Order: sequence, then C-alpha cells, then structure tokens
Amino acid sequence: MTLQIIANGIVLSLVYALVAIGLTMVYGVMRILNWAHGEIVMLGAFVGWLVVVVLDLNFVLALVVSMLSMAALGVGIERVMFRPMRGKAHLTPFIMSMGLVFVLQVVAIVAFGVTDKAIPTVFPGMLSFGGAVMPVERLVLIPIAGGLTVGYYIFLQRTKQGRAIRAAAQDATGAVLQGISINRCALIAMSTGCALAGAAGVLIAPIFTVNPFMGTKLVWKAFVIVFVGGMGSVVGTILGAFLIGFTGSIVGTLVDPKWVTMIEMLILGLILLFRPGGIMNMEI
Amino acid sequence: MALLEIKSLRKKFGGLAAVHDLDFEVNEGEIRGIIGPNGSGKTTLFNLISGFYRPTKGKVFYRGEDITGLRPSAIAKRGIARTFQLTSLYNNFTVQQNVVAASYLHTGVGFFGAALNTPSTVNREREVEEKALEVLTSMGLADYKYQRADNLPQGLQRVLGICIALATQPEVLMLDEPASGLSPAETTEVMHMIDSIRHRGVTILLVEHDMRVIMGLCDQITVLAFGKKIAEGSPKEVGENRDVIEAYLGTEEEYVT
Amino acid sequence: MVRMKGTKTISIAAVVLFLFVIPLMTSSPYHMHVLITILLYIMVTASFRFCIIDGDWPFAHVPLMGLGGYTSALLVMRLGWPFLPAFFTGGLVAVIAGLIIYIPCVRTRGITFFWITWAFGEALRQTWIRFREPFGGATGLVGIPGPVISIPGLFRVEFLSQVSYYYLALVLALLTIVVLHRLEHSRVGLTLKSVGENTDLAESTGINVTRQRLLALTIASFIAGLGGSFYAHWVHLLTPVDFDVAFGLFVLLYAVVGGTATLWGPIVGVTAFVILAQFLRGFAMYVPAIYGFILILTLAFLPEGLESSPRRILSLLKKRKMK
Repeated sequence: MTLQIIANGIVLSLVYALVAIGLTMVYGVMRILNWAHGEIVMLGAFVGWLVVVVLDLNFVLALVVSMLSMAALGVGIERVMFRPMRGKAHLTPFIMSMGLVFVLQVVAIVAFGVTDKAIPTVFPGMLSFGGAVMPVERLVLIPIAGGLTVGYYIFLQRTKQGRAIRAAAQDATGAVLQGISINRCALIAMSTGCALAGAAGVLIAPIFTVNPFMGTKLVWKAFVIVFVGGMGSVVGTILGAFLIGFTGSIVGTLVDPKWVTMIEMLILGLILLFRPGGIMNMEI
Repeated sequence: MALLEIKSLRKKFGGLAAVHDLDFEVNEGEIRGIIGPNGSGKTTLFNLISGFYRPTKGKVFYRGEDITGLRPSAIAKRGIARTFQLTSLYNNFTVQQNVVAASYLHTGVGFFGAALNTPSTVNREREVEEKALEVLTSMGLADYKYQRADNLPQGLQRVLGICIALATQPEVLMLDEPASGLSPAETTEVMHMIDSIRHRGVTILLVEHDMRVIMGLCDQITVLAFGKKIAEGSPKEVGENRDVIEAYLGTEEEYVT
Repeated sequence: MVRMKGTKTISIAAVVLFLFVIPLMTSSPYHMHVLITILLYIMVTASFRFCIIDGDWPFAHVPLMGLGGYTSALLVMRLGWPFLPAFFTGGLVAVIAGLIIYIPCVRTRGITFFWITWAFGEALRQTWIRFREPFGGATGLVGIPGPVISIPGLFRVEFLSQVSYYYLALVLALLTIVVLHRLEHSRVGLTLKSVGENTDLAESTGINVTRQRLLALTIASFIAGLGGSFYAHWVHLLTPVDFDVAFGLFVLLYAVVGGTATLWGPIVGVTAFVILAQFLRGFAMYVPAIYGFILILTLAFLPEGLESSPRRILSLLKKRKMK
C-alpha cells in the first residue's frame, strides 16, 4: 500500500512539475502569469492524440511534435500578445491571457470536438512490485518527465541562455545593463515553458481524459504549486509539485479524493499566512 | 526626554547589515542632518523609523512610546511624516487632490456620512480643502492646484512631495534628499522652505548630500558610514572630525567652503 | 457650471423615469429577462469594479455572489424564513465569507491576489459540488420560491410576472449605482484611489492600506451577495455551474471592456455584451472565442474601455479641426 502511494505520488508530482515549471518561468522572466498555460497543455495533449491515434505513429514522435508545436505556439503568443504590451499596465498581458483561454478552448472545440478523446495504452501491461501495482505506461512517465525536469534544471544552471533568463527573472534592469536582451529571454522562457507544457499534455493524455476543458483544472493545480513553491523559482516549483502531488496521492488513497481540494486549500492558506513568498521565499 | 529615540537599531538583509547597532536621539524643534557616503544606511534608517522596514533588532521610541514594528500608517498617525528619495506622488491626480488625499488622517473618514452626503460631511470636506490650499499656498504651489501632478517640472514635484507630507500635520518631518538634482537657485528655495517649516514647530530629519544645505540648516548632524554612526555633533564639530573626513575621502573642499 | 450640473441632473432623472416606464411599453417576458439580466450584471460588475479602484481584482467575487444565493435560498426553503431577512442575510454571509477569504489574501497584491482569491473562491464553489447536503451537489437547488414581501395583516406582495422582478432588479441596481457613486466621489473614494495610485505613498500618509482594501472588498461582497440572492429567487434554480470561472471571466470582461475609470464602464460594458449575446444566440459555441478576441482587441486598441470612446472621438475630432 505504501509503495503504491509513493509510486502514484511520484508520477503525479512529475507531471505537475512539468506543467508548473513553464508557468513559473514565464512569471519569473516576464512577470506575466499566463492563464492560458493550461490550454497549452491541453493542445499538447490533442497534438499527441493526433499523432498517436489519427496518424498512427509512435509515442516518442508524439512527444517531440507536441513539444515543438507548443514551443512555436508559445513564441507566437509572446510575439503577438505579450511583447507589444510590455510597457503597458502591469495587468494588461495577464488579462489578455484570459481572453486567450477562451480563444484556444474554442479553437480546440472546433478542431477536435467536445467529446473526450482517449489515447489507447501505448505501453500495455501492469508491473507489480512489492505489493504495488502500476500500469507500465505510468511508470514510463517517471524517467521521461523526470528527465525533462532535470534536463531543464541543468539548462537553467549550466547554459548561457539558461543563466541569462535566470538573471532576467531576478532583476530585469540589471540584466539589461549586462547586455542581456529581455526580448530573447522572454522568447526562451516562453518557448521552453510551453514545450514542457506540451510534453506534459502528451504524457497526461493516456491517463486522464483529453477534452478542450481539461486546461482549467490543471492550471489551477499549477498555480497552487507555483504559489506554494515560490513564484519564479524552478526549484520551489519542483518542491511544490512534490508536495501537492504526494498530497493528492496520500489523501486520494487513504481518505477520499473529494478531500484533496480542501487539503490543498489548507496548504495554500498556511503558506499565505506564514510564508507568503512560498517555500523558496521569493518576493511576491 | 528626547522626542525620537533610536536604540541599538539593526537591520540585516540576508547576511548584510545595512544598519548596525545605531543609537541616537532627536530633540524637539531641532533640524537634524543625517549624512554619510552612499550605502551608509540613511534611507534604510528612514524606512525603519517610518515603519516600512521592520528592524532585525533594536527599538524606536517616539514621545516615550515604543513604535518599533508598527505599520507606516500607524506611525504617520502618531505624527511622523516622510518624503521619498525618488519623489513619490499621485501622478494622475491634480496637485490639489494630492494634498487633500493626505489630509484625512486626523479627521475621521465617516463612512455613512460619505455615503449619505450629510451636511456635516460637506462642511468637513470644505475644511479639508481649505487646509490643503493653505499648505499649497505656504509652499508656493497654490497656482498649480488644478494641474496634474505629473505635468509639474521636477523641482515643483519635489515641493509637492513635501506638501503631501505636511498635509498630515506632522510633528516630525523626515526629508530624504530634498535638494538632489536641483539647481543652486532651487536649492536655496528649498532651504527657505525647510526653515519656514521648522518655524512652524516641526522637528526635521534631513538626509542630504549637498553640504551647503546641511551646514546651512542643521543644528546637529549625525554621520553614518557602513550602517554605523561615526560622529555626531554641531556642524563645526562634524566638519572638523577626522573620521568623517576620511569617510568622505576627496570631499574635503566642501567642508572648507 | 451650475447650468451644466442642472442639465446633467435632468437627463439622469429622465433616464431613470424612462426605465421605470419601460414595462408599460413592452412587457414581453423576453425583453424583461434581458433587462433584468443587464441590471443584475451591472450590480455584480459595478461592485467588482469598485475594488479595482484600489488595485484589487478579487476573483472570489462571483463565488461570493453564489454564496449569497445559496444562503438566501436555503434560509427560505429549509428554515422557512421570509424573503427579506433571507435576502439580506445572503448579503451578510457573503461579507463574512468574504472576510474569511480576503483577510489572509490581503497580504498579496495584483496578479497574485487575483489568483489566490480565485483559488479560494473556487474552493468555496467546490463545497457546493461536494456536499449534496445541504447544497444539492452538482444538480443544485431546485424549486426556490420567488420573493414574497409581506407584513401580516397589512399587505402581501408576490412576484408573479417578469415585470415585477424587473422593478425589484431596477431598484436594486439603482441603489447600487447611487451608493457606489456617492462613495467613490467622497473621501472614501479618494482614499481608495490613492491606494490604487500609489500604495506606499498612501500608507505613509496615514492611510491603513489593508483596512481600506478590506473595506472596499466588504462593500463589494455585500452587493454581490444581494445580487446572488436576487438571482436565486428569480430563476428558482441554483447550480454551482452558474458561478464558475467562465462567469467570473465574463464579469471581468464587462468591467475591462466597459472601462474601469468610472461607474459608466460597468454599465456600458454589461449592456453592450448582454445585447451582443442576444445576437449571438445561434453561435453559442463561438461566443467565448468572440469574447476573448474582443477582450484582447480592447486591451490593445482601446485600453481604457468603451466608456472612453466619446472622449477619444472628441479629441480625434478636435485634432482634425486644428489641422
């Protein structure tokens, strides 16, 4: 039983991490909380469905196509919506992203219809170990999602571009003075963040239902994670993702899935009251 | 008893102490200059006194009352007002509105009176507007009262910032570099202004880099460097103090003048 | 100056008179329904916009409206309360729940405040879905009785036609507008605007920013709660979906597209969209996207909203004239 909870927890946490990292990165660099981030995950899931079910191609290809297409979409959004609004009122791009939610949802409805899509099991079979049973395809998630997360972390810490966007996230003016282009950073943050979201979509697709409205619930969880972890901090987001992921697993298995939201609200409230900057104590 | 007492005040940011075991007292009616090289903790000190920062250690007393850690509005209510280094205004308001907005703290907000527009509310509003006009007139801004604040030239914006602080009818006024960036003529005007404020009975704390202003106005000067007090005394005493001169390496000429 | 003020008062009085007289010209239930929707949405949007004055975008607003509705409905249906006390208690409960949510949230500002109030508001909404007792779960509350205002032995007013609901909605909306207008143009309003314009400066002049924000939020919650109560007894049916994120976004849409500078913004925004919605009835599927586009276009090209268009047109004309 414990092993089951842990296994479920890890899977959930990694998926959440993939979704939330993009959100926190975009906030950190551009100070925009992209409400439409959940819709990007959703579109990534649909792309995955297209590739695997409609085109009957393999799963890895689906992952790659989804990541690339969502990165492109992210770049488009940044260029067309966020960049022109950069000087203007603080809340403007954020409100725009809400309009984007509607637009993207309707695009999905028109393109794919309202009914749930299912992706048939790509990796069939169950693995049982030490009393826990896990569908193989969920287990496969762990190295993929884990790899992407760790890979992104290394990108941020070790590469020039990664460090540049971290600098921009900490202090935009200082970064500009060092010759770092904010436009470049915004592009990188947005494209990588959306790529991760797309990957998350493909990985989630076989597990949960794929429909045009799946984004809103996900973005809610992502926001809780980002807030709990510390807005703009990737490490914080990963920690937050594990906190929320394991809460979901533990409460869902031992108590009742209905209570998960309540416990999450409790965590949110506690953080708000005692450490409003999140686990990593970022500036609000 | 001193009007304002600071005891062992310390403020750390991460590992760095911006202000280090600071002790000093300000007496009623004086103009106290606070000087020091950049980064010596002057603005931090203002933020600590006015409640925008919480001290890591130490206490601030006003009229014997411990005001450490109170929020800025509570401290303003007790009679300590301040200006900001980068002039802070209500940019989209008119000059008049800027001052009126700051005038309510001693007269109740009167929620129901406001909602119902009772005669007593109308009277109070008129009183507030008259008082605001007085402040503007005393600082020479009366002619600009219907202008948008961000339309004013920089020097006048600075004056407006002082008016806003004065509108709260303070007993202590903390001025953060009021003369910075001003021409010599404008600086002289500001000095007159500060002097007239003192004559109204307001105790003044003055952070400034311009030595003419400091030497010309202050009764006492406290010198800070690296968050610590390195000297305190009359302008003459401070001007001749070796440690002060060292801390200000290369600005000896200003003291001579 | 005095003559202008007189003209303004007369024209407003004329409009109000006209509004009262409309049902004599057309009492079609459909028209009444549209008008009532406009009036109700004006209440909700204007109160939301009231908080924007001091910089808060409280996204728990619509769930609090729902709470008012659920409270009033349950008090009448389960505890047999008469309408008026239940109606006002709906508003009060919204205030109390609002304070419970907003007091911790007020440590945050701007975008963070928006998201966190959204989270708590959504959690509130989830309780109506999770708990079938007493909220009815996803199917909600059915058979909510219409308002009955009575003093035993003296009179009894029942609401049997849409026209009667229209008058109730009209009174509520007018009261909302008058109260919010008065507040905004008093020292309360100037203080709120100071907080929105330059928070630190306001705080340094003795304005307790936290208290001011909570004051605005409380007033807004009360009005939202009353709106919810009205809604419950008007449509006789309450489901959690009525107060979901989509409706919350619509309210935000009406406020932003209408304009947040004055009280006209919500009025113009709501009216424009509700009427637009009537023409889009065949395209229900595309409505969210159309709204989304309108929002994006407005922010890009008319950032101060529809209410600023007379002013902009005038200044454009002046520029033409000068050339």
